[in-house]
Amino acid sequence: MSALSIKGLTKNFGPAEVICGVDLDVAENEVHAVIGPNGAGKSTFFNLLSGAFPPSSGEIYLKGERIDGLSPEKIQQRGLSRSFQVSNVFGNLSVFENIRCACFKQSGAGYVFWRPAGKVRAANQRADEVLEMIGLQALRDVPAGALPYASQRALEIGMTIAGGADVVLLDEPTAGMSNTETTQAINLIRQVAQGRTLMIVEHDMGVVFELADRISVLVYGKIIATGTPEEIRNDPRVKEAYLGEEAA
Amino acid sequence: MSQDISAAMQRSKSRPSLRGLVPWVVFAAVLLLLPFVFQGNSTAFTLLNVIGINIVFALSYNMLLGQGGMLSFGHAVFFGLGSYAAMHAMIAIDDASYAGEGFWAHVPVVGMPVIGMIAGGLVALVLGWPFCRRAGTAFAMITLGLGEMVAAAGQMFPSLFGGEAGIYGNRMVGPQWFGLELAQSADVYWFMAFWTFLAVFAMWAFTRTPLGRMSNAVRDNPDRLQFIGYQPRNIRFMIFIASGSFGGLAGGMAAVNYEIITPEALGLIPSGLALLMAAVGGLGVFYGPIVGAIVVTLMNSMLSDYTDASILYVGLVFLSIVMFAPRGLGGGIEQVRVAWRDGDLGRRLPGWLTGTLAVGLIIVGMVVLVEMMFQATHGDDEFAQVLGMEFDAAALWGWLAAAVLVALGVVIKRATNKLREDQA
Repeated sequence: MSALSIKGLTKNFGPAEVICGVDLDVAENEVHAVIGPNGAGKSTFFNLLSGAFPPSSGEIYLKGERIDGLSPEKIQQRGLSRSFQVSNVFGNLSVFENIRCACFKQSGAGYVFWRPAGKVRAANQRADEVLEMIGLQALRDVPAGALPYASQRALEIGMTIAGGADVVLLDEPTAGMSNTETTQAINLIRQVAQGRTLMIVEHDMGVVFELADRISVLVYGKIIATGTPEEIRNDPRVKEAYLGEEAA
Repeated sequence: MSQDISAAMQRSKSRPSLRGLVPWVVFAAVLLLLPFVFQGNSTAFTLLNVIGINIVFALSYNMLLGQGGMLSFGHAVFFGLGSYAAMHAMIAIDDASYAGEGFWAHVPVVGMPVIGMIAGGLVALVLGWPFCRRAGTAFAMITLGLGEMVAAAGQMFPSLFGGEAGIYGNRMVGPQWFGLELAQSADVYWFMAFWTFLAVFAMWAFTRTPLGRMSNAVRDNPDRLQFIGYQPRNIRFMIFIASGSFGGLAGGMAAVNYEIITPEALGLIPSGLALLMAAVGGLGVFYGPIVGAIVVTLMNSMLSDYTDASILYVGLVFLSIVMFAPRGLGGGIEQVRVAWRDGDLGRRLPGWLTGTLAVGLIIVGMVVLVEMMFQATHGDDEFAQVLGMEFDAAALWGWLAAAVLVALGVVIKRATNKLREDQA
């Protein structure tokens, strides 16, 4: 069964059709990149999948279960979680607390007010694991708002996976990073991909070709090609619509 | 920024657990010692009792504003309705103990804050859901409307609210617990100390729970909350209920203290008082509202003994804190504490002291101006004499001197601001 199955997805904003009939299947444990020129509708596509906007028509199945039209928190609870292009953290809370807040629900302590947070062992353990994975143990007590940019991006990814989602959408995880930072981010994303299905929107072609099992090219709200990096590289339509600009 | 980070890194290496107890031991000790300091001084006890009520009231308000990011102008609804519930319970106890039987005959007046708490929580539970969809302006406006509506309803149902005169009760009824007679304000003090300590501890403990942490998260970034599996409205609603409960608890304390409650207690003025105390003390530090409650209560009651312009002075203090110390008195204390811990105090203290001096000059100048205006229009004000001010309000030099003080304060303030920016 596909982890994520999208059928005839459309989205209109008034008369403008931003997503026009997208069909896509993402296999379990696949790393699937979505590329496309600016304004192609990549962010809208992610917003539809994660429930930030309801689709105008079409169906989305997460592990066989229909999720289109559900609210973001319902979709998150069903195992699909996303990160954001712009760092979107709880600025006054510490790094550790940011991660832990993303863990309470899964630890069965989502709304608990009769037990200190420190006593919710599952959440604390999970938060420490994630903290180690994203390499921010040393900064655990720093307010998230005071983190350097690259660390904030790592925290963003940590919060996305902390809740136990197995389908993860990453929205431009390396945007605005230096080369070294990008290398670190790629390593982190590789780790995140272990045992999870990943969808990535990314502009950096190096990152895309290094990470993705398959790539879909989104142009003006339509997927014009889906295939392995090799296939995409050699696809004439893709060259024309997208890569052509870079080659020129 | 990098200083923040390295300081936090050093801190995380050692985290002794017993040190967390120190503030509580100090708090308990202060509560136990105060009666010996003020022995026989019933005015002082009356004031202490009001401070206790206001501490709980301000802290419960800060659960909404400081912890949950919800600006409410209707918090007194919970305080007032909690107080009414407790008063009706006290009346029931009075009636039942006169008859000598029935459930209420066995309920002690000492437990009235529990009644207030239940009432406050229930009201929040029934009313809160539609309010909690949004924080920000919408929430502020809705709570403002709620406050005015409930206050108006208070006048409309005299059997329940007692009309403009309110309802009375008697606290010296029912079973006595711990041999506490609750006759004098010095007896009531122990009741206040007990409930203040308990409520402060409970509200502090709440901030440490998963829900308490989530309430900070919904304050910082409600949009992100959805994508970690929460409906922000649910969190806000639960904070609203918790805050209403503790507001009601403060109301229960007030019912026992005053033995009278009027519909005025439901309105905008006491709601504004909660905001004032929390903001003066500081929204970002847990103990901020405690400091604010103490300062504002003292100012309100002591200044009004000396000057008719007391409300104006409270407003002046509020303004200067919002403008010059937006993190409040508690935030200031916390800054000094953190600087001291990080060994940074020597470097930063001069700047802070000059800043304080500047604000002090501005305030003194303003006070002189206000007092002279008062003298010019109303005749002598006692406060001026207490301060040793015996000016002729008609003479120009007094006005000039006051204006010079204010101007001097502003100049120093701007100079220190610039100095601090250069340092940073």
